[in-house]
Amino acid sequence: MKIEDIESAKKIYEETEIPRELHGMVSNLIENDRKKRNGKHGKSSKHAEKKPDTENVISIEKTRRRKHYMLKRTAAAAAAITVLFTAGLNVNEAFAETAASLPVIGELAKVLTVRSYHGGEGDYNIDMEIPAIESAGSGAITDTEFTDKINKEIEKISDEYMAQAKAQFEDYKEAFFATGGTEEEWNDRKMDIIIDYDIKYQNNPVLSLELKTAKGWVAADEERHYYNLDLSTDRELKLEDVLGEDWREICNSETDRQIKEQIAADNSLSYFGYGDNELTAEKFTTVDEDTDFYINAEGKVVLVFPEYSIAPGYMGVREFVVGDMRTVAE
Amino acid sequence: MTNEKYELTVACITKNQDSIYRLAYSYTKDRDKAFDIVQNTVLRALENYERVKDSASLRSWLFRIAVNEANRYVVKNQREIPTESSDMPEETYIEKAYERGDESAVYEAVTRLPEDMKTVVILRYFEEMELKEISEATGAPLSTVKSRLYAAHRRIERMLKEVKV
Repeated sequence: MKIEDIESAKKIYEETEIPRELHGMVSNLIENDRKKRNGKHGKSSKHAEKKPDTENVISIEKTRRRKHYMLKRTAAAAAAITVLFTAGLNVNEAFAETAASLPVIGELAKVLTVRSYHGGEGDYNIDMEIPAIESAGSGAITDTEFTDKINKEIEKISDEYMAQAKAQFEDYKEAFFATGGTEEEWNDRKMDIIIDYDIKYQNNPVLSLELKTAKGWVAADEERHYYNLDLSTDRELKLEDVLGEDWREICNSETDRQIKEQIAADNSLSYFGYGDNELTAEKFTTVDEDTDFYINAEGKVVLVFPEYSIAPGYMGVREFVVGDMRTVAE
Repeated sequence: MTNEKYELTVACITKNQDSIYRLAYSYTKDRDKAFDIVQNTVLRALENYERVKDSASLRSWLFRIAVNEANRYVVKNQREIPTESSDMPEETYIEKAYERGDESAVYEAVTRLPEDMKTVVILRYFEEMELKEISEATGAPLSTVKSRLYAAHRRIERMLKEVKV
């Protein structure tokens, strides 16, 4: 359902003809009730019975017309402001909030960049795009409490990662010079810090969001965090929710099958406990509640194994598509 | 001295009378019956205005009365009006949606929703009420309002697909 659809439906609804007699009936009911009440209290209400004189009617009409005009002007001004705010979408939070409060119907929530920074900062090259999930304004079903919690978590992860990366690099730099390294050898080394996000899947009511943190210096590493949300019920989805009761079995057999398939097809690939590593390392056994996953654009469930968890570091993060997402809610 | 609460109630009724009529009409599809619902709503509101604790919730309280009245009407007339989707002549609606052009298809779909979903959609999108207000107006917990709204979305989308096929 698009905004235009709801808006045209609203227009039809608003065009429901109001019978002329309605207002008369309602004001009669009110006047009768007033009389009854005043009678009860032994008072007569002259005011209520007094009919408005012609002059008053005219002045009311005038006021009404003026108000209508004012309203129109305000609406136009609001529209103009809206455009400006949308342009400033990623600039700051206040703007983002205003933009998110625009009516978006048929969308439960949207993901916006709330902090963005690209550039050098001392010893660091920083590429940062920190997302936040905003409930989608007047069309939203999603509780802000739920999204706030997730947003805070994202922010915390990002900030801590940044602080940790910088501390690590400071330590490294200190050790470098303490062990006799020279400015020349250091050669203006910088650390790359990347915080970025990716919307893996967004189809009401499911949102699958990836937060990626990475740093690069002498070694590179990458961390990923996933948020798979059911926005109709405000909860994080578990593997069981998207794959059903047999989730463990599905994940385990699919991962095992694909690992075997991969190493059979390409002998440069290696997994702990498989092939040549059969005796030297512990093999992948099972997924659990904490195994990371996301939903890809095709609506399939993808398992994510961090670096070093099931394969040597050079293999990086490993992903396995294990099956179609079960319909989450109805 | 005038009774402030009473005056606020009167003002609220006057301000929302058209909305209440539209809501009632969406239930009854009949002008006289919608009139009855408005009348009962106004009478009940004037009778019970003292029960409203917080004047801020006056509007949702008024709608709550209207929704109750409309529901009473539906229950009373259930035997006469086919409200089950299986009783609905499907083709007629498809034709109707086409006749009136695509822009009315969503509206048609809304009117065909079960009462509880329809109420939530009307209050949310047409009357632009907050979810919390809707929860007050329907007497349903917030989570129920949300799930109804969501279910209504799904249902409308499905109905639109049917029409487009």
